[in-house]
Amino acid sequence: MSAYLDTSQNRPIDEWPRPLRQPTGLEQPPLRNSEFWSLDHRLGKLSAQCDRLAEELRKVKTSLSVAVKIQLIAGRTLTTPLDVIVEPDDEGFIARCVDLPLFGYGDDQYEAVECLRKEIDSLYHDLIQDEDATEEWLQIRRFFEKNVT
Amino acid sequence: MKNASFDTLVVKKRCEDKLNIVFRHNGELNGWFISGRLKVARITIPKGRKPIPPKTYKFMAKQLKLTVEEFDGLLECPIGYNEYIQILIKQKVIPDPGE
Repeated sequence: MSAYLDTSQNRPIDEWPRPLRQPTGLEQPPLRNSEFWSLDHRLGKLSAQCDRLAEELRKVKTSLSVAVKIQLIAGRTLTTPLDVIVEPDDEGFIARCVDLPLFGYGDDQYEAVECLRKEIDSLYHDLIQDEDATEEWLQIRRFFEKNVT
Repeated sequence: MKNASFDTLVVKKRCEDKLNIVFRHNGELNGWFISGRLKVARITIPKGRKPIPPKTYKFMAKQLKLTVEEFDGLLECPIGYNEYIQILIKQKVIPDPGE
């Protein structure tokens, strides 16, 4: 019971006198009920618009083709980087090399580029191992020989 | 384009059976089409994609130097090893043994 009593005044806390706040001059008049609901409605509409814009932004981001360059293959550096285009393909992404007949597929752009990088590594090793290939592949082999340092 | 009709396992099986391509497993599946000891075409099959997405399907056809329709034919039935060789000869990718 003592917790609820002002021991000095012997009155319940609810009945204590409230401290007076000094006016700052910036106070807004209290909202009328209709104004409050109107603001609440506008806030709800803005929130829905934000959600829509965020979804559109996500769609634009994922529908854009991105150009990147690959400069490291098989742990070595290419003096001429390979141009790569990454674009959406159904639910995933395809990364394709402009100068080589190779691609990588992944659930996101990063995974697609990593797959392509592995493909380039694998092709590099295949072509360096032996020369039994058509002229098209021998040209790519010469490109690797010239550019991989 | 009939990419929706074929999953990656079907493509792999057809390439193995019809073109004698031996696939390696290093991340993606890839293998060479070899004619007369020469590496002629190299195809990559993305793992676990059912069905194959359209751009990927087109690129796989391109890797084998086929049009999408020819690639459909390879996977469906009409195009076999001999027909494929004829396409490559026609495109001058490999020499005509008759010449």
